[in-house]
Amino acid sequence: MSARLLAKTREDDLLSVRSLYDSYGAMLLGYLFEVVQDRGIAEQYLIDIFNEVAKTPANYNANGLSTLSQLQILARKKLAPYYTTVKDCGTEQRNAKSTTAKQNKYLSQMTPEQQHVFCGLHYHGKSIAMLAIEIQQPEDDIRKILKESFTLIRKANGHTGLH
Amino acid sequence: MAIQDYIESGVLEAYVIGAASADEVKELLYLKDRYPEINLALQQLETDMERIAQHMAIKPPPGTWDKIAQEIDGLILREDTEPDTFEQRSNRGNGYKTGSRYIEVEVESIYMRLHKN
Repeated sequence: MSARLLAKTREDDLLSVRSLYDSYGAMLLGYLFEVVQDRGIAEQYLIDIFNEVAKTPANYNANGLSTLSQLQILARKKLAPYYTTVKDCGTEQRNAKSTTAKQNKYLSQMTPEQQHVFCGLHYHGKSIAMLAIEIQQPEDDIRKILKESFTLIRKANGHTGLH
Repeated sequence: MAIQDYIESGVLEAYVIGAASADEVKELLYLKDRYPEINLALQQLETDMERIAQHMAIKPPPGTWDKIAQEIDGLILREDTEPDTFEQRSNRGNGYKTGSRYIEVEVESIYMRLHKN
């Protein structure tokens, strides 16, 4: 590849990353903050994520999954070491500091069990198997509880959905 | 398989939240292409996730993009300046058969370090 073409490719890649950052940076930072509860640490994770995105920016616009979902999956991978230090949404200590349950209109409509499942999966990187053991219910029931959580989210948006 | 039962099982929700197993993902990607109702249900769930993300969004501080761009530039520079691997020359001294024996060098510094072979 010629130097000029290489430079152009890099410029295009940087523009793609910038475009993803403009579209999803704020949403990702909000998600990261909910996990780490510290703006500085959340920002550092955001920088790390977009540096990773810069390696293959085209991948985030291509696959079957939505771009946000792909970026959140990447965020979860980056956050994996951090999850062990994070307290559950339901614990008092976390709630004292967290904005999650207080400001999240979706979570506030969920039962404690639904909150536990939704937060455990979305904000704390837990697996369905792990939650099944924690709340002593079969994995199928955990999926059902998760589904109920999404139904509430949709209702909160004024949609009944098709399923 | 009853498609509606599959949709109701919660596996789609597990997928969009990143908690589906590798086998579940494989199955879902196959079914999604085959059954439009599954694809539609999946799209709706992704919209739900985006709504939550928008609701909790925090605008990054003004300098964040500059930090990202700087680090990306740093990564590119490191790639460009990676040293070549050493190759043993088989015919030492015969490397200048054609063309000039001199090379043009443009540097900002007034000093130059030479390595003689």
